[in-house]
Amino acid sequence: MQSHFWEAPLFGMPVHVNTLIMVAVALVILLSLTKLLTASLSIRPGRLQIFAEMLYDFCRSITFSSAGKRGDAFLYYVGSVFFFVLTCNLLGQFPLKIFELPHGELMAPTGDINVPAGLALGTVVMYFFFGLKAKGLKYFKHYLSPLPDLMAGQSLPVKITYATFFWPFILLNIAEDLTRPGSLMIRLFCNIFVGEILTGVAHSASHYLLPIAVMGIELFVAVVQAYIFAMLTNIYISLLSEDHDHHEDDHEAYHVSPAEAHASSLAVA
Amino acid sequence: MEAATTYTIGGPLAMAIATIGPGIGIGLAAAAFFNATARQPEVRGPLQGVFFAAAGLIELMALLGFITLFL
Repeated sequence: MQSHFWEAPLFGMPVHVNTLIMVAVALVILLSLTKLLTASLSIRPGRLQIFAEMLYDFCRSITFSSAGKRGDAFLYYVGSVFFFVLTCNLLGQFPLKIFELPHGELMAPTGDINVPAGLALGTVVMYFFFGLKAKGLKYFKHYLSPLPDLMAGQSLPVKITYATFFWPFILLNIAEDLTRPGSLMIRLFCNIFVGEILTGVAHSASHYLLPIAVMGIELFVAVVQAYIFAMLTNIYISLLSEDHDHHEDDHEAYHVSPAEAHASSLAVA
Repeated sequence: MEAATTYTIGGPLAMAIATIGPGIGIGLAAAAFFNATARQPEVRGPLQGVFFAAAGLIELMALLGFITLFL
């Protein structure tokens, strides 16, 4: 497969410099936007602060939909992932061909499989972290998933029968730790990469109008993929850190006072 | 991408077949979503997130078909 990457060795491993450049650009954009939006916070919000609060509220609606108040603990990770993926996806829509590189070309960083792979690994680390934090060593009980529920209150021969026939589920549960990040990675990578190819094909078919239509679709796909990535990350984390024994404050009122939210986030963090 | 890329008929065919199932699947999900919103417009907000997540899960099947182009 011919390379459209600019590969350079770093510690004996090849590194895609064009991807690194685009990730750096995305980080600069994100950090400066954050700085700008939170520059002057006040009780009576200005326009920028209202916009920032809107974005925050959107992220909170993602975590709140599946985890309730408990979601405030990992809201920061899910929100960061959402905005990082969104920025990376949208960067691909800029006319990047005008920048000449020695090798390869600039493209959306999420169109390089290494970036989605890193994000997916981050998701795995986070759900292990929050799962272990919420449940301790009881976290590993979910690998036995259907067996304890089936066996509850049964006699010994029935238990043995269940164990004989349902033990492959344990392998499936272990394999899920690979398929979850794998599917996250492939979904994001393919969508963005296909978008790049599609724009190129449309451009070679016609120089007018058709690429614009395709790029319009690409804008939609960029937002939807960022949303899906954040949503699935949130679902995995909230599913695996769910403690079945006590969840009394799960579905209370959506709006809490800022002090209360701060206190609960401190308590978990 | 100047280098000539040669595909056999198998890859595109696999891609084409792989899109059938997810097409039907996302169609069913969207139909259910529209039905639910038509009956109860107030559930639109919560359902939208679930719908997109489900669409993302279904879409993966077609994308796995796309991966076979490169194998």
